[in-house]
Amino acid sequence: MKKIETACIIDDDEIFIFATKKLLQIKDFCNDFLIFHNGLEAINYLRPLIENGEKCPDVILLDLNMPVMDGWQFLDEFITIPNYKKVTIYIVSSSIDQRDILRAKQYDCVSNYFIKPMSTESLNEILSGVQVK
Amino acid sequence: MNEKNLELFRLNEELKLSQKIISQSQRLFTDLSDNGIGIDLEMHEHKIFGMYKTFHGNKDARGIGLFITKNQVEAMRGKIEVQSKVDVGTTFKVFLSNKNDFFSNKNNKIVNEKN
Repeated sequence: MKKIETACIIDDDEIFIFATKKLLQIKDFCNDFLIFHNGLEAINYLRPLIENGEKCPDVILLDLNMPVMDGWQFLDEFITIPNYKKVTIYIVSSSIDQRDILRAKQYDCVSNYFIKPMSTESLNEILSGVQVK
Repeated sequence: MNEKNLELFRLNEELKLSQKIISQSQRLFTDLSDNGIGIDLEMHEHKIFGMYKTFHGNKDARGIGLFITKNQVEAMRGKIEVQSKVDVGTTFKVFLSNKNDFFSNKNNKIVNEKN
């Protein structure tokens, strides 16, 4: 089984980051983590990496409600990067609003929408999804 | 990230808060201004009064104050507006109509419910 090299978590909630990191470590999900606390931090770091074809994360777990730049604004910026399709994005949000779920589906870079809290089942789904890709 | 954005308060300048009140017979206008770091309205205007929406990543920000304020102002048939410029400051304009105006208004919901 191919292991994921780098997983990126974009979330402003420290507790979520802590819990997800632990969960990913237990599952031996990936070798390395990238953590950002809002969309702007993430886009500023990821844009040059992806544009220059450097090592970028394989999976992004993206929160929606964040300060400074939220998940939607991050997605709108992200799809302007050439070659953005190399990265698989999963939205992980506590929002159960149907409008959010439908809106997420409109982005072709978003593979799935998970509602917090993350379960091991949803992680398994991510793992198999990334490997098929 | 721009270093200025990271500053939670503009420490190099004295904080200035000002309030302006214009009171007419049935109406009240009030402006509340600060010279803080401002909010980027181009990015955030659509969600500035939204619940749990925060804009600067302050650790103690909860995203509740403006949401409740707008709700209460609107419950009193008032209006609230915001003007802001990053690194310059923010002004909130609140417009309230007089209580008498509220209860004498025939289109008012409370009156309608009794009918």
